[in-house]
Amino acid sequence: MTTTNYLTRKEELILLAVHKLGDSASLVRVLEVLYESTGREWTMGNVYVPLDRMTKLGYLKTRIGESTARRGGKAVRYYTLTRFGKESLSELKRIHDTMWNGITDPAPEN
Amino acid sequence: MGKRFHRPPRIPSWVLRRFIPESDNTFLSGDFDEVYNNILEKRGRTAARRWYWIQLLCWIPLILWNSMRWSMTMFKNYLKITLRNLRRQKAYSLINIAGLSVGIACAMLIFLVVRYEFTYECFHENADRIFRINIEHTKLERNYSSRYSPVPLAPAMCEEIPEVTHFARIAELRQIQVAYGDRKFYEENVRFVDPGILEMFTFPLIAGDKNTALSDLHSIVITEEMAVKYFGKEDPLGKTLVLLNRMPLWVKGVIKNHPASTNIHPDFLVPLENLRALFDDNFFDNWVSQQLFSFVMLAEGASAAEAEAKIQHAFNRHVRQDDGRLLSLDRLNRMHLFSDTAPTGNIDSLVILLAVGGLILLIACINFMNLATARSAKRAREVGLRKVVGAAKRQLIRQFIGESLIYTAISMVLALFLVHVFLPVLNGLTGQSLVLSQIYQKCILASMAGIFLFVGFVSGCYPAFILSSVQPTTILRGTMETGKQGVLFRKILVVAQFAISIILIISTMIFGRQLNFLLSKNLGFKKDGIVVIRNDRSTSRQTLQPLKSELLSDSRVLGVAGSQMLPSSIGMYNTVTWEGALEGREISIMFNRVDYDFLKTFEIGLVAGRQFSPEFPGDMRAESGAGGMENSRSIIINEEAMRQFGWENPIGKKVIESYDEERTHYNVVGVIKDFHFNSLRESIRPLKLFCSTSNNRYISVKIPLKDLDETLKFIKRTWKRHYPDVPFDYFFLDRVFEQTYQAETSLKKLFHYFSGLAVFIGCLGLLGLASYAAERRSKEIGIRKVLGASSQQIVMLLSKDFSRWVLAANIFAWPAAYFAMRSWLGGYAYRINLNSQLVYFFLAGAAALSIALITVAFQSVKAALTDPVKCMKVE
Repeated sequence: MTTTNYLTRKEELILLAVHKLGDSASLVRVLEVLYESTGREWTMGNVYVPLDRMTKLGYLKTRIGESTARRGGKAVRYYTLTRFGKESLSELKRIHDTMWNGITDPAPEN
Repeated sequence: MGKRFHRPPRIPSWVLRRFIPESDNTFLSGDFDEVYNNILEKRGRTAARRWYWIQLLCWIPLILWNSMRWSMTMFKNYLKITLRNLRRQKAYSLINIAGLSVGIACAMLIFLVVRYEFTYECFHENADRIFRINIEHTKLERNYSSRYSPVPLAPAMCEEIPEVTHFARIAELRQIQVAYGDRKFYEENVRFVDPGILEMFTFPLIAGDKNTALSDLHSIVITEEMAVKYFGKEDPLGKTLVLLNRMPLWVKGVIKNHPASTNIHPDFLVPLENLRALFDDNFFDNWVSQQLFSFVMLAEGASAAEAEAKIQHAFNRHVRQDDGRLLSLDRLNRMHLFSDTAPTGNIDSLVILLAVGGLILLIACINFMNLATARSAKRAREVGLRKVVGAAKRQLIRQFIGESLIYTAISMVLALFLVHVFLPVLNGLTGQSLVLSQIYQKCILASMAGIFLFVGFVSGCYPAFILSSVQPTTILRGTMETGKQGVLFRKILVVAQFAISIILIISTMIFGRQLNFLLSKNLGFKKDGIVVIRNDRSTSRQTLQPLKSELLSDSRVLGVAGSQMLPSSIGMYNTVTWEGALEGREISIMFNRVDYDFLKTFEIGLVAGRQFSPEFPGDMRAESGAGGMENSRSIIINEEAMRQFGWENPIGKKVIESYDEERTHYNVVGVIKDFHFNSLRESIRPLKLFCSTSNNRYISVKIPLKDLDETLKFIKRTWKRHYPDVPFDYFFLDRVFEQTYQAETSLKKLFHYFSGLAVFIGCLGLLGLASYAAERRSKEIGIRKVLGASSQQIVMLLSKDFSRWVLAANIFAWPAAYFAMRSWLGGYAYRINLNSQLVYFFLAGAAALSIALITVAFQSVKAALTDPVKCMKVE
């Protein structure tokens, strides 16, 4: 079964960010990672909706974490990859690697 | 990192919480708080707040879209269930949809009518830059506004004020004879205009050149309709039309026919300079008398208020002394409804109509709610099961609102059909010319979408909340009292519905009464049996005596009088001061020029003094330049003038024309009783009558009502003999009078229909409720019958409840109707006494009650007549 068909590019990036963050993938941290790597401000909704969708599709699972004063005493929720999520991500990587194999960066050299 | 927690701004966070899925609420708002705090620390409060708002704006559409995507699957199921229900309960669905579609159709028709009134003059491309200069007289006893302004005003303003880029004056001359060969007609809509009019207003030319069509003094531009009327299929360009028998003009252009939604609809455009031949030289330089409409067009982006101030300032420089005239600008596209000076439309009645439309829509919604809640028992099991399987309350609410949206959509389609069918009927009632194609415009479609959502949500929300709060355990165990929810609410709704219907019925009746009152009020003069013949401008100067004596020689003619204006529509006024007035006191006074027989023919009574008579040569008004000794003439005034002058004994007192440089004195020789020379909406104003036998624009012939045709033929024969060149153009005075109350008449008719429909929709709902009640109590009825209850008793039992509600509705409807009607009647100077009309309140209540009872009885009798065995057998 091809597992990655259903993910958009935005979702891929977010999935990758969750993976990168390991155990500390909260919405806010995902937002930060995305900002650092893409250089673009992501809105809350733009991250939450894919996270929610991927959770519902079984790529991610959630875990309730600690509550801090900074959050107004509200608990944080962490996202982690499920087994299915990990498989999909690795398949994605494989596809990407295969595609890139043997070609160079198309950006014009300066 | 700071340790303090900063609370995000209250309003956006409250809004945000509404849009966060329930299960994720704490985490997500925590996330929001965290990022907000981070930004606040790094970049300050403003940046953080801005971020929060932006997030909010991006959040809502995303979330809505997301949730919609998820509910698509459920939606299919909802749709299936809805359609299944619709098919299974045919009568119920029929009542629901019929009520809704009639209601929506009413609202849409009313909306169309109202919108139409708002489109007046809007087809002119520059409508928001064109202004009419109005003049208000502030130095008079009572302020009068006039739409007319002095002739030299507009060109002077255009020259002196940079903002004014164009001007066009429009002088109306009525009853102008236009001739092409031997085709002669009297035309109402000949307008003498400045050539700039074609530039300013949107009068598209279909022949001729816009820039030169009116540049020549002897040119004329006509409408398509007139081109056909005078020239048939011939090419109108270059043909000659002769105005007033002496003014040959060449047709240089043909404009398109005017749309119906305009008050400026000249059929003939003639260069204004031609008026030099008709009036004295003074006409074009006279800053005192107000002769024509002045329109100016402001530069793009110019402020009307500033221009107004400048125009006033410039005007003051031109008039010699400050005469208290205040100039104001009236925008073209607001003139019809919002002009301070005699608006041609009636915004009040539009507001009333809109209210009626809204109320009807509300009644229709109430119907839907009522029936849906009453039926909720039938649906309760479904709801219970859905809940058990895991439906959230939110989903159920969505389901039921969706259901009502589907019903509304079906009704909407039917309503559109109804609108198509009834639009011509409506046009007949209002005199408008709405076309079907006008329905499908952006604004109409938008408002239809608005109505759709409004009706769908309003009528769906209550049943949705009732049904979604059902406890699944009680329902599935079967212990729930079915149909008990919202009984009180339902009663309130029925009461509200009937209250609205009763208010509408009462209003209809009071409207009718007021209108009859207006039409039958003793006006102070006799309007019945008066045939009025329009005289030509040229022949009106001749003496009437030969015609008069010949007409009067026949016994059927009871009286003949010539006058400048008819007693029902005296429109000219000037200002006077009077003997014994304080220095500088002036009043404006209406005037009319009449001949010796005027008072006698219209049976206007004298209070003091005498009528005009040939025995007093001083009665005759000298028409021009009567200087020296002989400048005192006789006038007759009305009681109101006498009151305002403050005279005890008016005979022989003097009235002085204040704008007249010679300050002509007039002797009062008689006082007549007040009569209504304008619409009864206004109170009687001061009036003076001059005696003149050479101002016979209208010749009124009083005849008995029997042998009308014969008498008319006789008059026509006599007329033709005396005035062979003037067409015999006559009308009946009382008909003119009815036209004055056109607005009221059409409002009354509209009310008749719409209140009838409101009652109809209300009854549909009642029918549904009654049948439901009968069904629910069928077992009880069966048992009662078995135990020996008679059919009458059963009918009584079922009707009692409903009649109680309708009676309660009266209690609310009466005061509301009373106050509404009182404020409406307040707009009339002469009106019926509302307190003496209270019997109509009772009548309306009784009517509503009996209609309701008939509706309910229909169902109750059916229930009472069913075989008890049948309903008891069912288990």
